[in-house]
Amino acid sequence: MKENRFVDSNNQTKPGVNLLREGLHGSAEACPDPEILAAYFERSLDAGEVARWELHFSQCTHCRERLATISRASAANGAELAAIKSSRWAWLWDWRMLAPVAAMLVVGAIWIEHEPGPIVGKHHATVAMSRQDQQQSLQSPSQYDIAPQSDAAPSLPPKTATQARAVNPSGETDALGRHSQPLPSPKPSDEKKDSVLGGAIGNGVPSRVWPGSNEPLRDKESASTHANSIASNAPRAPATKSTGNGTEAGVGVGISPNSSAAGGVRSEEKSATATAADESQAQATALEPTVAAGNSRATATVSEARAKLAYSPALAQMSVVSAGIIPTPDPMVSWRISEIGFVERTTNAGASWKKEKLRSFEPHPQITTGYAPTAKTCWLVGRNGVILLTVDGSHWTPIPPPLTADFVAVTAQDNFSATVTAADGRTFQTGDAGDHWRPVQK
Amino acid sequence: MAPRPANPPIDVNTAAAEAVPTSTKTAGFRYWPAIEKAIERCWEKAAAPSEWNLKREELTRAIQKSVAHRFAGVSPDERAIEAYLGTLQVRDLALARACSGGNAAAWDYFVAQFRPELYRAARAIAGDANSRELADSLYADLYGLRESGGQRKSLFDYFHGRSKLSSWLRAVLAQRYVDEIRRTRKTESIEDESGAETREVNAAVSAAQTRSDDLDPERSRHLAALQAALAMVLGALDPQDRLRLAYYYIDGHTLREIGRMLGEHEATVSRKIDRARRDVRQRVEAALRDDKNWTDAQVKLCFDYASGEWPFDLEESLRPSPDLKERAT
Repeated sequence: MKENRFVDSNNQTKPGVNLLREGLHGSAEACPDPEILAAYFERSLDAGEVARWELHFSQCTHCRERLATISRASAANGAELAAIKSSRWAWLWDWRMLAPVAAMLVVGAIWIEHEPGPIVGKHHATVAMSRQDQQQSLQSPSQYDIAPQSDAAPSLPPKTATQARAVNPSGETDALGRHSQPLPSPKPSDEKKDSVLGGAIGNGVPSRVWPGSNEPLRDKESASTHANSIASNAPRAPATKSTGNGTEAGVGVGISPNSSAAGGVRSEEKSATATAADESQAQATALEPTVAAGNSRATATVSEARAKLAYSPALAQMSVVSAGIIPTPDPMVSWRISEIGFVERTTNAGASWKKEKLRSFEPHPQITTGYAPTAKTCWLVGRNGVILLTVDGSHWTPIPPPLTADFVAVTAQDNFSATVTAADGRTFQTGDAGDHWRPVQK
Repeated sequence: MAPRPANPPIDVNTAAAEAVPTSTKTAGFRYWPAIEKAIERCWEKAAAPSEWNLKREELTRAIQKSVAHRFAGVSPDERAIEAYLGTLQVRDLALARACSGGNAAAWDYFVAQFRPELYRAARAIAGDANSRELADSLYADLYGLRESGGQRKSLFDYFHGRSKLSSWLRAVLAQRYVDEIRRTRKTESIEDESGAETREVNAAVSAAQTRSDDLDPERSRHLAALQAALAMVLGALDPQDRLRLAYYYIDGHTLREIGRMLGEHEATVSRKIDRARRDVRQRVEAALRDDKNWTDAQVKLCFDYASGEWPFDLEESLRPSPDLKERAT
């Protein structure tokens, strides 16, 4: 029986095939010569010829047999060539060759880790600066020649490793530099600073703001600063809740003064510094906020490289979900939309994928897209009202949909709050994992 | 009407030298000044080694022949011809011409570069037992061991540079193999050029239907309407969708094989087949409802009769659409 992973297998009945055969029978055109078949297989025919000959092929078993034979020969040739190549270069993968290379890579990684500088290994903690401080930092020579930033996005020179450790005394951060411990309370002089995260810092309450979410800060004093620095057309999301699965204490803020409504943001991570005793001005490393701002200074490439490594769900959502990949804040973890009824998850940056079966009200759930607010939490939506949620990264639970429709978009803050969009444009929000949905007025 | 091959199986003994149609000769002459530069570029691109002794006039004639073959029966403009010349595999064309002319150095080059690939393709097509025979027969025709009218004829004369030489060789091998298989097939295929098998199967199906019709006269009427609607809907489908359905439901290829033939990922093939299937289902329903003025209940009955005959997924496709179900109840 033929492989039939994606389409239901029990569908080939002889009489039924004849019905279809009759419907497709009857090509008036003569069969093409081998050169046309070869050019068609190579995709070197123009569009008109392709349409013409595909119509003929759909009606001519003889030609389809030839094409299938060509395909078989081509595939075998490719496989043999690949085997030959791999055997030629097999010596490269000998352990005696790999060991010194691996050792050099380890040494290089350790050097990068401890070497203060522009190379991004981790995202160091940052401290917001006042506008005055910002001006001073711009005027004074810094370790890196960072271009002046717009008012909406403070530019901070990078900090040393010592400063980074001082800022993050717990030393526990995830891949994006987010702290797993509550941030320490800032000094009184810091409270008045224009800080994108002033509210969160002042309250000492951990908060998590995804880039582009435009979530209002808890500190109203900083709201205007935050509003200036966030894309003007970004939608406002409901406040983040602490969840039963643990609180995401890290902070990530999307700042993109020139970004489009769809995102295009670059995440900028800041956290309060606890020790600034030796500094009259708070200094911290900041990721350059501008992406497409047209910063013409070539020396900003260091900061641009950092920013590119920052996880930006909005950007990721745009660029990769269309390719079937659902990214998470953890660069090692992603989901992938695969065959009907399954998704696949990687925890090693795509080196291997594990298939996960989807349990749904729909017998063969067809997933259209998804959103992963954490490495273990993922919302999937699909056709015919399919909404699925996992909170442990592997087991999926069907969520009752607001209506039976094809869903084409989803965003989520955690495993309770999500927003889904149907194909007809209607949007619904839930704050209790689908027990209740409310329509979102646009 | 059953299709027939445009060219008979390539046989150097009987095939005459391919003549350039007069109308295209005239067209070629008319456009010659405009495409002269393009042909000059082709010559430079071909970069035939001197030991092949390939004259520029020979390659030019081969290119003109290719243009004539491509635009037979039409009058292309200069841009179309130039664009076409830009896609030609001129290096392979130069090698083919040099081999066809009997140049030993060119032939040695061809053997060194293409022989392993040729044998690989033959093995994949015919299996280890018959691959050598298949490949060697092609070799003989490529070298031009046969003569026609006192002139040595090479299979290379039929290569016009529209594809890579390696792809063309695989296509020729495939054609020979399939033709041989069809010729010697002991059990006749369901569909051949004469359509005899189709008629035979149809007769058997018809006989079975007649027995059923005795029990339910409405059945034949519904099935005939379904067949007509299906034929109409399939005729309006995109050619590539038709091809996918034919590959999958008639030829029984796997999704991966279809993806390879169409240059798509198998998940893409699956989605497109699924979409085409739903599309056909909806359009057939609409055709029965609108053209035949049937009620929803009659349409539902039609699909019930077709249970076991409908070519698509029984579980999915026979499930009536939600509004149909609602109205029928």
